Amino acid sequence: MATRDATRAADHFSLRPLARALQGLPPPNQAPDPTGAWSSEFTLYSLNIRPWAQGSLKLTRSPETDGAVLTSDYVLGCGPGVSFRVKGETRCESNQLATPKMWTVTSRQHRNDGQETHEAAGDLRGTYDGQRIVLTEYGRERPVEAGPLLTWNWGLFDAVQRLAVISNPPPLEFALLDHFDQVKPEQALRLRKRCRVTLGAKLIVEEQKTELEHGTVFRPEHVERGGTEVDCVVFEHTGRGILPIVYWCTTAGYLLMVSSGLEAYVRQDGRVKP
Amino acid sequence: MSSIPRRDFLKAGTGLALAGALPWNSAAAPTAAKPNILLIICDQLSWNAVSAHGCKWVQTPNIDRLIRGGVSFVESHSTNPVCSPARSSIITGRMPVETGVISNSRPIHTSVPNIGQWLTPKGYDAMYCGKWHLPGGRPHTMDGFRVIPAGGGQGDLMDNSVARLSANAIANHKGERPFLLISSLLQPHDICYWAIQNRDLVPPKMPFDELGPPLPDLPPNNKVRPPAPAKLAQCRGPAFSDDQWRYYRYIYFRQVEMLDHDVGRILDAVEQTGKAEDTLVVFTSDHGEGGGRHSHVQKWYPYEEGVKVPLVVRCPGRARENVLDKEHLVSGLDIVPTICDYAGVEPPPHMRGFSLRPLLEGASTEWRDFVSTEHHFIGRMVRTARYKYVRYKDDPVEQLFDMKTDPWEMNNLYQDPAHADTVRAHRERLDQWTASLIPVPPTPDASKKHRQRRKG
Repeated sequence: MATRDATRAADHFSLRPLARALQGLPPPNQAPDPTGAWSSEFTLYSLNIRPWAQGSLKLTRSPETDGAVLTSDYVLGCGPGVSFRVKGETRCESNQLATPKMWTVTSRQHRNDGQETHEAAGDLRGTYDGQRIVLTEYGRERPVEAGPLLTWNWGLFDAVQRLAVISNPPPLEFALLDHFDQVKPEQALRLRKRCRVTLGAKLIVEEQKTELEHGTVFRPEHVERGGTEVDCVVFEHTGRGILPIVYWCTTAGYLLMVSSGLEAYVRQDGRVKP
Repeated sequence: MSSIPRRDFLKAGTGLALAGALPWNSAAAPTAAKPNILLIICDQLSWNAVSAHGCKWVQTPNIDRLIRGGVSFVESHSTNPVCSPARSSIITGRMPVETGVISNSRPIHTSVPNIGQWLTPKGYDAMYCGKWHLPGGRPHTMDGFRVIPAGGGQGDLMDNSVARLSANAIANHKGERPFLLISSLLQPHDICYWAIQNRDLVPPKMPFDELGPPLPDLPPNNKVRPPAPAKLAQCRGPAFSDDQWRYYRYIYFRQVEMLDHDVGRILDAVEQTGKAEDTLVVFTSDHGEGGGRHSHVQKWYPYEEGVKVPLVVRCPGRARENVLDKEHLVSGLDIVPTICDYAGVEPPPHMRGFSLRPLLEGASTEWRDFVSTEHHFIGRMVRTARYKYVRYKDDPVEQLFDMKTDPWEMNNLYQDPAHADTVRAHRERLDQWTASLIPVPPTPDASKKHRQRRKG
């Protein structure tokens, strides 16, 4: 996947900081039915100076008669030999937003020897009745007002895949259940653009020549070569408590990547490891 | 309220009259039970970037909740507008020149105890989660603390794990020993990286008409540059258009809101586990953020945007609630003496700060009449109730601002004959303060850049 997109100057940010993370990612052969069962794995990158892998997310969707169940397995590295893992199971509505109805979450810290750090363990359960969330944590129940329209971080990964295959997806306004327990209001998801990006390019170092007043300067620069052009549907998500987030899907509803300009999820399905 | 005579204050600065010898401290008998202590340190949060402090461009319901439950100091100043030096002061109660941490990525000098080292032998279970930088981003071992390793990275990656792990540690903490937990959150520091990564990509005229939260206005001093040394120009932001500045501020405020929700996670754990009544909560930031004031991004400079930070203390049943203290000049130096006071232990020697306890509890007390900020490359600042005076390093330009009539620091008065006496008095005050400190040799810079330089 490459970062060439002629319209990028009007985006919140470029794909350029992601270029190294996108090297060697092939164009998807076939997208799974976004309304059916699917499973996808993402690598999480921090984008300071260059992409820096921090962890992973595995997301699995199982359709049910009245919606779907999304299971999430989020793993963050915490330095040498230690990881933090948050596993969730979220029962969602069948609506466009994958509104969560009920969720259970466990968070655990593991060391390489398999030992769990007792003091870092937590369990959370939540329900949403269309207006109010009730969280059960630390042995107590706590109500949180959320309003009538709600979705959650990774519910949007599901939602954009289903929206991408619609010819004219409507803008959606909602509150965001952030990492299962905090409500962020005034959120909006809308179609940003349709565009063509180049996937599977290679980054090559080339000497770039610049003519200056007193001479010529040569400096190495990474440039992208090769790849395959793919039509994309791009959504943007803005609101309180988040940086503008951009979702890149193929027109068949295959979510390729999600980025806020500072952090990114890049889908790993089909990546050939060198 | 009258001020401590300057001579007496400077005595305190030399260690002859330590915070422990001040009247309120000797009168402050330890409470029956030592409270838990939760110190939340965030990174690059300006004092006025919080909705409870009057910022209308941001929503911070969780920090506001903390402010309503305790005392928030308006005149709160960082000891150094750079991460590591300021942090060294927050956890030792000493000026950076005394901790050896004069710039980023240096360890605290071994002669200076941090609050974890001080309280652990006195019965506290000291834990640390999140950014350290003294040195190392998130080392697994720190002197004085049991470390809860957290995730790294920008945006949502690190702070969400710091908040959840801190919350779980609070909930799971059992036993007779009270805890001291430092939760060190990274946001809204990532505005630095956002500016680096994206500044050439944001068009001069905003194409985004549906951002949700509105683009903030420009600060009144965005284009004002009072006489200042040339080196301050290095701290200025890129040549942004007005819209770009507004968008930069928009991004910063969204990062402040991200921080707020992680603060909320930690506070929820304190409150949901029934520990709020037994927990002293202190919230502060290492330094502020330019946010377009004087065309500045990031920190490093002694203007308000760099040095003025939140300092909020909540201690139900002991400290007053919903108080905005506009009168007293306070500093990151005051955190260690305050914690020690509530923990019922003598503070470490040579404290430069004072326990905030009398101010928190509404007791009558004398208080200092100035605070100071230092930066090894930029210079030193002294702030009195009315004036801010700055002496820059290796540069003849000085600054004097009347903070009462010129809170945005637009008019440098240092060459105004009408203020000659004020300048002279502040110079003298700064000299005396500087002479009272006990500097140690700067500790080695452990950053990668310097390691490589040493290797040659």
